[in-house]
Amino acid sequence: MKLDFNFIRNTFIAVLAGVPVTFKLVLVVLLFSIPIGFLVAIVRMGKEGVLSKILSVYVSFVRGTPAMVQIYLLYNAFPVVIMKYFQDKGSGIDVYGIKGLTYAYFILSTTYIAIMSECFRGGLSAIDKGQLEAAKSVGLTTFQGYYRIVIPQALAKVLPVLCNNVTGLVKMTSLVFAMSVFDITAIAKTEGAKHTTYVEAYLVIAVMYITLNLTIELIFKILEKRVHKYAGT
Amino acid sequence: MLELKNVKKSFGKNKILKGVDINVNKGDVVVILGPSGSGKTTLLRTINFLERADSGTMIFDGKTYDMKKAGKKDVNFIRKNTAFVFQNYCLFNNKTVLQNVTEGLIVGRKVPKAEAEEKARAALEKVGMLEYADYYPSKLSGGMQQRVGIARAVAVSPDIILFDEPTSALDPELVGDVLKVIKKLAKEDITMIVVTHEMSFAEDVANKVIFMADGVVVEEGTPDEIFYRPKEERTKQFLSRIIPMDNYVI
Repeated sequence: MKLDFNFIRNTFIAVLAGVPVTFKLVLVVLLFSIPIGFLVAIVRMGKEGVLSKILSVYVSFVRGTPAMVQIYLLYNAFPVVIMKYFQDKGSGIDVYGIKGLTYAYFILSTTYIAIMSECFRGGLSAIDKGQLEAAKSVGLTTFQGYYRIVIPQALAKVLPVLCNNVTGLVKMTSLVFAMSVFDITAIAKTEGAKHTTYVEAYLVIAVMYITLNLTIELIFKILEKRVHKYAGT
Repeated sequence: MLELKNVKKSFGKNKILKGVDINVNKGDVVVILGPSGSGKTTLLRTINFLERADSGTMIFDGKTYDMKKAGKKDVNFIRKNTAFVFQNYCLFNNKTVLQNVTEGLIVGRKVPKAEAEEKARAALEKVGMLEYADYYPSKLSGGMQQRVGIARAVAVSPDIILFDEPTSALDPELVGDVLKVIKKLAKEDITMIVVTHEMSFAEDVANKVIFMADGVVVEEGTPDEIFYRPKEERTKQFLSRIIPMDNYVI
């Protein structure tokens, strides 16, 4: 089989239009999942309570189901059920009016909040509690102790896992085509279908994902070097 | 200057402190001795509110505090006027030696940076760690880390320094350096309470020795009284087990 390089070039240009969508997905999801995931980790590490139990069930659910299944449930099944309910009530709310992109933000964020919370929980518990006590003993508040002493060290500890999570997120955004969101995968699929040149189309996006993830890995490598100075060894 | 009355603390069903009274005057070096599990460390931690006592009264700088109910403001005030030296140093690993010492001054007490660094350098000089000011803790030996821990406590000019077994996590050959530093501070009339198993150090430095067992103060007195003329059977028993083992020369 011969590769159609002309088509590769054309597909590349067409797929570029999807890059902002992929970027937006990654950035928005990180913007939600990092801070919220951190809060979830803190709550789960605190005293056992109702909230902590609910969160642990949530994390187990999200980690135990494929993202694709969550998409089927939330994007495909949920609106049918809820619409029926609204119609019975005579409400005019149009559930089908919600955009696929909104579902994509929601589903990826809930998944990544769970994943990030587990990563932060590991990082936080790796920091000796004594340092927080020492911070309090020299007159820092608990918040200052976390913010200035514990969190910077926990972040340094989780950088490799965080890098893994971010590259994983980049790859997971390829699922959004199932919610009719036109990211690079969706565009490649349609371009490939138009000309029945799937191999070329998929090669293009494979290279794109690799490039994106290599860049992310490089950024994390630089970050890791910067924190390395105090991280022992 | 510091008086504790009837301090009680349990962890679950385990009664650790069963009503402890102690009294510390300005310039005192009080050494607390006792077998493991006697509540020495817990007592020290309740003074700095790292552990909340179940009940008890503290008189500090002429003011009386309920140790169970003391509010945030009171706790902060007491913490800012006391300092704690931890058994396993607990240095801030993401800060240099100098930053470890300035942290409490700059962030906790709003001392201007230049002044804080000056104070920190003086404190590091005192413990012989000034030349390591720019090192990160992970690059230092245990003994060095503990000396930084002491500098961190000294720098904030506390009314009282609490030492929680400051040498028990150290290699035997490093113990001497740390004890020397504490001894030096004792000579400067800094008030301190030291929980330790170093008997000869206690005998040398303390002007008051408190012997605790099973959550109560069994006996207290001068080192002479406790070590050579103990009144209580429990004290005699403890000392007879410990003293022959003690060969450290300071």
